[in-house]
Amino acid sequence: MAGFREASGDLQLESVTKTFGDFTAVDDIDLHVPRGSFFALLGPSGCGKTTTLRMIAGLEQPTAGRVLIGDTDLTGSRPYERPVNTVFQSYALFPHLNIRDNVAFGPKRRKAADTAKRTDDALELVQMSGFATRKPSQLSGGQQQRVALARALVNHPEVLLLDEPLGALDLKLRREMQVELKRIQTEVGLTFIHVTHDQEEAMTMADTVAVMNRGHIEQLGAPAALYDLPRTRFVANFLGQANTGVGIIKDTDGDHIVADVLGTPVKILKSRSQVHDGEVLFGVRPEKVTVSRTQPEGAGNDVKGVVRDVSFLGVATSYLVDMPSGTTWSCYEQNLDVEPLDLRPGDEVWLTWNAGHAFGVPA
Amino acid sequence: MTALAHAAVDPGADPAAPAPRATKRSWTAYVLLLPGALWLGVFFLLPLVQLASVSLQSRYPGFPGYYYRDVNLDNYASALTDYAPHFARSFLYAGLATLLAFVVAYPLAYAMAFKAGRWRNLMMICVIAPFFTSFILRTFAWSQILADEGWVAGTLNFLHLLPGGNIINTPVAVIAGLTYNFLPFMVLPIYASLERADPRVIEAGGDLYANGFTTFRTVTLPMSMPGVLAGTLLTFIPAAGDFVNMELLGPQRGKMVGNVINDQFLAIPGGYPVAAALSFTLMAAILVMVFLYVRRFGTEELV
Amino acid sequence: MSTTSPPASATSARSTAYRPSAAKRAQVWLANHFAILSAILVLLYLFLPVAYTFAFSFNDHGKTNIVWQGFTWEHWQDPCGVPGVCGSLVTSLQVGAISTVVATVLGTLMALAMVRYRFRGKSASNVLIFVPMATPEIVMGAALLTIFVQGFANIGIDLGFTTIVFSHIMFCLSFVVVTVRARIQSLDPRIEEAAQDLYASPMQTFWKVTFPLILPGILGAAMLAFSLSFDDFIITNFVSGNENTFPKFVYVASRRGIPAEANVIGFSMFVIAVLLVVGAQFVSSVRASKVKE
Ligand SMILES: Nc1ncnc2c1ncn2[C@@H]1O[C@H](COP(=O)(O)OP(=O)(O)O)[C@@H](O)[C@H]1O
Ligand SMILES: [Mg+2]
Repeated sequence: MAGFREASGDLQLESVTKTFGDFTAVDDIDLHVPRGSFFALLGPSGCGKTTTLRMIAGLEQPTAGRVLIGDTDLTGSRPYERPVNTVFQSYALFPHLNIRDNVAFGPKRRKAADTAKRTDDALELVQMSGFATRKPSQLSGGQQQRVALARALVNHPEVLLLDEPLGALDLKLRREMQVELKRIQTEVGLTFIHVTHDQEEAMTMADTVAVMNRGHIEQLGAPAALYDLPRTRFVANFLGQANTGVGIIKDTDGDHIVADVLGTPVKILKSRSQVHDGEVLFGVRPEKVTVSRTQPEGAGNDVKGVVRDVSFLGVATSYLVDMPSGTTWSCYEQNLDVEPLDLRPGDEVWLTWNAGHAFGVPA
Repeated sequence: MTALAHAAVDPGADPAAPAPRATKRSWTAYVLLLPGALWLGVFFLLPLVQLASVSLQSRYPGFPGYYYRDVNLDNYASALTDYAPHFARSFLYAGLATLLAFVVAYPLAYAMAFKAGRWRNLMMICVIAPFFTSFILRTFAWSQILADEGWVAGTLNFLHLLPGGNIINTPVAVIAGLTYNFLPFMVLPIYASLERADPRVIEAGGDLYANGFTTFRTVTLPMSMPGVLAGTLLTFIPAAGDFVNMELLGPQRGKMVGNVINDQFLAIPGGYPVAAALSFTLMAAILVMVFLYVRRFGTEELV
Repeated sequence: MSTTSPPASATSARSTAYRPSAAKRAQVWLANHFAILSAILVLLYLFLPVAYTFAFSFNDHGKTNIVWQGFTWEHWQDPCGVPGVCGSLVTSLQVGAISTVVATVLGTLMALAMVRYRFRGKSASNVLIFVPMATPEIVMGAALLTIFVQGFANIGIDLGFTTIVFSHIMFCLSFVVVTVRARIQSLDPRIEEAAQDLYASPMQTFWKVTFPLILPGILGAAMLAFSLSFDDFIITNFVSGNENTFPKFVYVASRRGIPAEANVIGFSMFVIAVLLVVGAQFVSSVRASKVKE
C-alpha cells in the first residue's frame, strides 16, 4: 500500500472550512472526537454534514484548516490513504460484485492475509452470512445497509463515517438498526461518526452530539446536556420541543435574572442564561411545565392561558395552550394524579414551572 | 442493444441519471481527450478547411483537373443558382421522408416501450439487424419490389391507383427508399425516450382525458420530444445528403444535391471547386436548420 | 365508420347482460392492439427487402439478377464464385475491426474526460464531437477526398485501405463518445468514491469498478461502430481509390445487376449478427437467472 497513512488516536478537525464557489458549506469548524466514541453530527438537511464527512474521508479537500487522527495530519491525503471508511448515504454498493466480494474489496486492496476470514466475520457481525453470493440488487434496503456497514467495518478503520445510514429505512427497521448499530459499535470499539437529521436518532445513539447549522457547529455535548441547557435558539428548537418567549432583561434577583415577557416577569438562573442584559429568548421544555386550574401559590413563574387541544397518550397527556403573547405552548403531564384534571378546549389554565428549569439564549 | 438507442437519442445528458459531479479538474482530462480530439481535428476539421479552400479555387483553363489557389466566389454563385432546384429537391424529399419515417416509427417505438414486454429486446434486434445486410443490397431489393413487373406496381395498376403507370424511377420511389433506409434512426431515439418515461404518467393522462388521442397529444408526445427531436435530425441529415436512393430508385433527370456533388467529384473532371462549394453550402444550410430547429423544439441542451 | 348496425344493436338491447356488438368489439380490440399491430406491420416492412435479398440469393440468373429465373443452390455452394466479392468482404471486415477497436478506445477515453472532468475548452470539445454527427456523409467524404488527394498524397499516403480506416475511425468516434458518455453519466459517482474510500488507487478504481460497470456501454458502442463502418458506402466511395469494400462492390455491381453471391453474403452477415446478439442476450439472461438461485 503505497502512501497508506497509519494513524491512531482521536479525530481532530482544526478550523476546517469548505467553500464551493462563493458558497461556504462548512464554516471554520473545530471538532475533537475521542477515540472509540459514538459521535453524532446532527443538523437539518443542507447544513454541511455530508461535506464535513467527505473532508474527513478525503473525498473533498478543505479550503482551509486541518484534519488529524492522533498526531498524524491527514490534510491533503487521498481517500485510499486514510484509515477511515464510509457508509454512504445511498450505500454505493458495487452492483457488479456479489456481497462477499463487496465486503472483501477493502481487505483485498490492502492485501490483507486473512481476507476470507475477516470477510466472514464481518458478514457474521451484521448477520448477512447467508447472503454472501447474492448481488446487491437482490437485497432489500435494510440488507443493503448491513452490507454497506460490513464492507466498511471489515477494514477496522480508525474512524467509521456513517452518512444518514438509516435514512432510507422505514421507521420500524430504523429503530431496530439503531439498536443494532449501537451494539456493533460497542462490540468493535471504533470511533463512529454518525450523521443524521433525526434528533431522536442522534440522542438515543450517541455519546456526544454536535448540532450543526449553516456550516457551523452550534453546540456540542452529551445528549442530555444539550437538551437540558441549549445555548442557542436553533439548538433549543431543533432538539426536542421548547416553549419559548422573547423578553427584555430588567432586573436581577439573587442568582436569577428577571426578564419581562409581554408584561409577565420571568426568572431564569444566571448560570442557565447565555445573556445577562438586553433581549433574551427564554424557554422551558414541555414536561417541565405544570398545568393547573387555579393559580398556584408562590411558584413565581406562572402564566394564564386557554386550552386549545388535549391529547391523551396513556402514560401522559399532552396539552396545547394558547398564551396571551399569541404563541402556543405545549405541556406534557404524566398521568399520576388520582383525580385527573379533565380539561377541555376553551378552559382557562395556569402554567407554572420551576425557575431552575428555564433557560435563556440570545433572542 | 439499448446502447444504440441511447447513442442515437442522447447528444445531451440523461435526465434520469443522478446529477453528474464533474468535480475533478486536472490535466488528466486533456490526456484522455487528446487522441480523439486530434483525430477529429486531423480527419474532420482539417479536411473541412481544405474543402473550404478548394471551394474557392479556380481551374487552369485548358488543364482539366488542375486548380490554382484563388478566392473565386463564382463557385458559390454557381452552386446557389445552377443547383438551387437540386437543393430544393434534397430538402423536400428528405423532409417528406422524415415525416413519413416519424409516422411509421412512432407506433413501433411506442409498442416496444409499452406493449412488448419480454419481446422488447427481440424487437430491438429486429430494428437493427437489417443494417447488416448492406444498405445497398436492401435499396436494390426495393428497386425490385417497386419495379414495373413487381407486385406493388402490379396491384396498384390493377386497382387503377397508379395513373402514371410506374413507381420506380420516380421521386415517390426515392422518398420511399429514404424513409426505409433511415427508419431505425427514427425508431431508436423515440423508443429510448419513451422507455425512460413513466408509464403511470400516461395512465394518469388516460384517466384525465377520456380521448386516447388527447392523451397522446398532451402527455405521451411531449414526453418523447427529446427522442423525436434526435430522431428527426438523425433521419433528415443523412437523407438530405444521400445520393444512393436517387441513383438506384430515382429518375434520370431531377437529381438531388448529393448526386451532383458525387458526380462532380468522382465522374466529371475538374468538378472539384464547384462540388466543394456545393458541399459547403449543404453543410451550412443543414447546420443552420439544425440550429433553428433545436432552438425552436429543443427540450434540453443538445450540444 | 359506422360502429353498430341496427340489427346488432337490437340484439344487444334485448339481451339482459350488456354485450357489445361484433363491430364494436372489433373496434375495441383494434384500439387496444393498434400499437402492437402496427409495430408488427412496420417490422415486416423492415424485413421485406431482407427477404428479397434472401430469395434472390437462390435465383438461377444469367447476366443480371433482377427478375426471378429459377431456383438454384449454386450461389450458396460457392459464395466466392464471383471475382472480387469475397475480397471486398474481407476488406470490409478488416476495416470494420480496426476502426471499431480504435474508435472505441479513443471514444471511451474522450467520454471519460467529458463526464468526469471540468476543463477549459469543454464546450468546444462538445461541439467538435457533435458536429460530425450533424454533417452529411457526402460532405465528409468530399472533404476527406480533398485532403487525401491534395495533402496526404504528398506524404506518401494514397487513397486505399489506410485512408478508408482513417475516415471510418473519424465518423465512428462521435457515436462511440455519445454512447459511452450516456452510460458513464448514468453511473452513480459515489460508487467510485466508495472504491477509493476502500483503499483502491485511481487505477484500481478504474479497472475494478468503473470499467466493469461501463463495459456494457462500451460493447454497445463497439457494435454500433462496427455496423456503421461495415455498412458505410458514401464516405468509403470517396476515399477508397481502387480498394473495394463490400458495399462498394455491391454498388458498382448494381449497375449490371448484383450477383446472387453478394445476396448470399449479405444475408449471411444478417443471420450471423442476429445469432450473435440473440446468443449474447441468452447467455446473459441465463447468467442472471443463475445468480438469482
Ligand atoms: N460539490 C458541491 N458543489 C456545490 N455545492 C455543494 C457541493 N456539495 C455540497 N454543496 C452544497 O453545500 C451545502 C451542504 O451540503 P451537504 O454537506 O451535502 O449537506 P447535508 O449533508 O448536511 O444535507 C448544500 O447547500 C449543498 O448544496
Ligand atoms: Mg447529506
